[in-house]
Amino acid sequence: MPIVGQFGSLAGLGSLILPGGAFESIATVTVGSGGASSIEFTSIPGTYQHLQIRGVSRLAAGTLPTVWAQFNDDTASNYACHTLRGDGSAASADGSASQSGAFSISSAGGGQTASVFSGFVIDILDYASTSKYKTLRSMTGGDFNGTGWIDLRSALWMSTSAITKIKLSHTGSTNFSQHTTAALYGIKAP
Amino acid sequence: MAVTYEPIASQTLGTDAATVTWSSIPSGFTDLIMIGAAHTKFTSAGNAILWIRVGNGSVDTGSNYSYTYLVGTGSTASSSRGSSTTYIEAAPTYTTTASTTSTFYPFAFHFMSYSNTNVNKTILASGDVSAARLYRTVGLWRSTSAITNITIGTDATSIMAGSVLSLYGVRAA
Repeated sequence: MPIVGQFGSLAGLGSLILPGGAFESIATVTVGSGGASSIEFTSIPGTYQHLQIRGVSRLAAGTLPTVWAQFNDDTASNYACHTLRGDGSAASADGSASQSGAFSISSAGGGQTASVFSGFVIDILDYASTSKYKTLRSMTGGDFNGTGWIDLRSALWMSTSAITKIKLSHTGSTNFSQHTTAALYGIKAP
Repeated sequence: MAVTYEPIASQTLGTDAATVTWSSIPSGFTDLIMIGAAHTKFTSAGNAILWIRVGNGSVDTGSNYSYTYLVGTGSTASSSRGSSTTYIEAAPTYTTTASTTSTFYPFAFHFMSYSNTNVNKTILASGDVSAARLYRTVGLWRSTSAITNITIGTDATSIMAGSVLSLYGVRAA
């Protein structure tokens, strides 16, 4: 049965009607006590219209480290990214072409208050299309009681390949901390 | 296949209410999402906000919240924050002195990992007052307790009759 006119669950943008059962859990990764250099979703079925990744993130070091998504093991400069940010004092925007991954999560880091994880909701649109470049958008941010940010991100992967693998990792080499969680969902077409 | 996105409870206000509260929220989901549309009432027309308080067993009214938001007005973008506040300023609304209205402003609140007792609770929020203000907010409740109670309130006098607030649970594999 129809359950919601879903304003906002797609990264807070647009609207979507989701019939019951249209939003399915595919896989979840929770980082264990040793940390993890990456979170990977593999063998993603092509049976959905869109994908959504939801979760909380913290990296072992840094302040506001960026996590990117790489698709199908493509680490070449085939990604372009944009960010609109509010940092508590001003709004700003930036963009960068020819990146090695799609900037998708603005994460909490080890240099920030313990036990605080940033949140993220990432949408990957029409991910199984073989005729379109792929677009990602996300709403992500963390607040640390005196510092913090809220980001709206978008990214382009210049490939017409269907996405079958997603790898989330720091743009440098910092590990995800324990309790970081990423859950992948598939959204069916009506 | 198990239902992943499940309605928990929905309230359509029959009368004006200062706050709207959900209690005994089950812990069997990964995230909570509250979606709705609201208008508020005050002694004069103007901008107002919806705020969020959460808690475990009861709603925490202490200064254990903080938030950062990004706002666009149609001509400018800015950002601000609140620290050690008694609620999370989550979404914009508008007030009226009338007894009824036909305009309600949409919002969505994402309570991430709301029952995970290893993390403080982060809430992502979006809300819009059409043709006036667009907000995106991240809020923090400085507690590792699971969220079992949620209260939505306003800095205006009340949330107006006709406002709709629906709570859903998202269950990961």
